[in-house]
Amino acid sequence: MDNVNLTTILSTYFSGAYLIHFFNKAFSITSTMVFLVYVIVIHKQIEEVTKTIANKKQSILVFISFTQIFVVLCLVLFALFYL
Amino acid sequence: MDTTKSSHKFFHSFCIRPNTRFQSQGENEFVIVMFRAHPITLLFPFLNGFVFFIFLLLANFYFILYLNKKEILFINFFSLVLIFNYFWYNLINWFFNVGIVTNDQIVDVDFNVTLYKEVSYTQISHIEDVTAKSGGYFATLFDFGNLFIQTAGTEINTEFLNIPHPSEAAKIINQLIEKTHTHG
Repeated sequence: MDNVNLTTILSTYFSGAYLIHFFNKAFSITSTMVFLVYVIVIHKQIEEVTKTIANKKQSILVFISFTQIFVVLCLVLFALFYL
Repeated sequence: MDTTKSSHKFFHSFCIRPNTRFQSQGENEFVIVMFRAHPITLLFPFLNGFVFFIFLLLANFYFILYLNKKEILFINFFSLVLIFNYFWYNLINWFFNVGIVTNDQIVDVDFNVTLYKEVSYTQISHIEDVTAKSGGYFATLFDFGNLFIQTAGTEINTEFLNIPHPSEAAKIINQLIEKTHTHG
């Protein structure tokens, strides 16, 4: 118990390995969230343009863009809780 | 070229009488031709995506040395999603950048996924000149080029880039102009 003091705690949390892990996680969460916003924008744009030009096959495109949002959301959760 | 029968060429990049409707279409208005860029223009973005994929495979040998399993798994998933999105972005841009020629007007839909959406309408009776331009090795080989539609006065000129059979498209539009002038 003598070893448990502020210096050891700080040295554990601010060690090279912990910092690298911390930055990896922070970078992953930020980048996936930015990407999530981007795919949502794409989905909204596709929905908007399909109103301008209507075609039978366009529902597939809307579905794929929606699936992409779901996949990126899974990546955000992966980065948040599993990484 | 017969414009009364429905036909689709080059992966739906040159469609005659397609089953397509647009927002401001009139009741007696029907679509005669719809064109988008030649599918060969998608080749370079797809090759780029393929190069990214090869690069990812090679980078994995480097990741093994420095990262743990979870991090490698995340990087691979995220990179694959990015590569797919790159394909998707180019495909969507190609698919929604269309030119529609109806019996009454020409509609130019310029769509960029994240930046802007521009739809311009040109009345056929206002068209002054139609020019088809084609040049370069690939354009000659695969028969695609640009179509410029000039209108009178201060109205915006319309252009369709890299469309297949630009001379055929110009011919169809010229026929429509003639019809409009003869029927008033």
